[in-house]
Amino acid sequence: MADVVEINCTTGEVIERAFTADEIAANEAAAKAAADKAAADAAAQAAADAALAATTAKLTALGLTQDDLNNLLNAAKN
Amino acid sequence: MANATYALISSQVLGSNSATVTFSSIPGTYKDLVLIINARDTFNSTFLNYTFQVNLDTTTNYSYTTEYAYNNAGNSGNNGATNGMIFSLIGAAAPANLFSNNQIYISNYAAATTKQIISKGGSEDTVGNGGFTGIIAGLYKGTSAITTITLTATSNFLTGSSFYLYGIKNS
Repeated sequence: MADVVEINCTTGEVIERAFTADEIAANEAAAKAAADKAAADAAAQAAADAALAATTAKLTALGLTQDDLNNLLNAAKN
Repeated sequence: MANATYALISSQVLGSNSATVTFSSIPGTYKDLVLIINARDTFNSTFLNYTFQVNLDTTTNYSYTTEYAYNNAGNSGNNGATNGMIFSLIGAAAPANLFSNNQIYISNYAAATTKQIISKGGSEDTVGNGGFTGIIAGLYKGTSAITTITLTATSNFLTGSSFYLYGIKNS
């Protein structure tokens, strides 16, 4: 496996090589950033889901059905 | 009237997994560039990012707006200044032998101005979960001619992934 495939479009030369030390560091930093973002996105989605569930529970406790809530949401969108 | 020509500059079909694919020394003799990608990531997820950079530029010279649908749900967003553009493809958790198609169009790549970069792509999920489709409108604010394009996978581009770089010439 080659970490990097470089194609020189002028000469047609193809170089397959391993990452340099700088590229390894950049790759690890990018992987960490991606993992951190994925974790942050998941946490934000979980919080949003929990908030929606809590709000829905409050409204259904008042006697509103899911259809009622959908109607309100649709009206708000329009 | 000039006739537009569509010429293959270079291509690469991976014989083994690779994290990065780079096209370098791109000649400045065309008006626009088109990069056709048929790829899959080795990372164990269904929907992944890969990074698009030009001229080895890791500064915040990129911005882009996305509109995509994944598993039947839509999403959109505007990414301000970034150090690369993020496009999407499928990964190892997607059905076997399925590859994503992407087309990246780069306007006026050799001009000393900012460059419009448009990407569209997607892949249908053969098990019926719904695949993804998306379009990205991007801008590269660097004012040097684009001579290098670097594509970096989340993990690795899978063996058999293919990359075709074309030049468009209006004469």
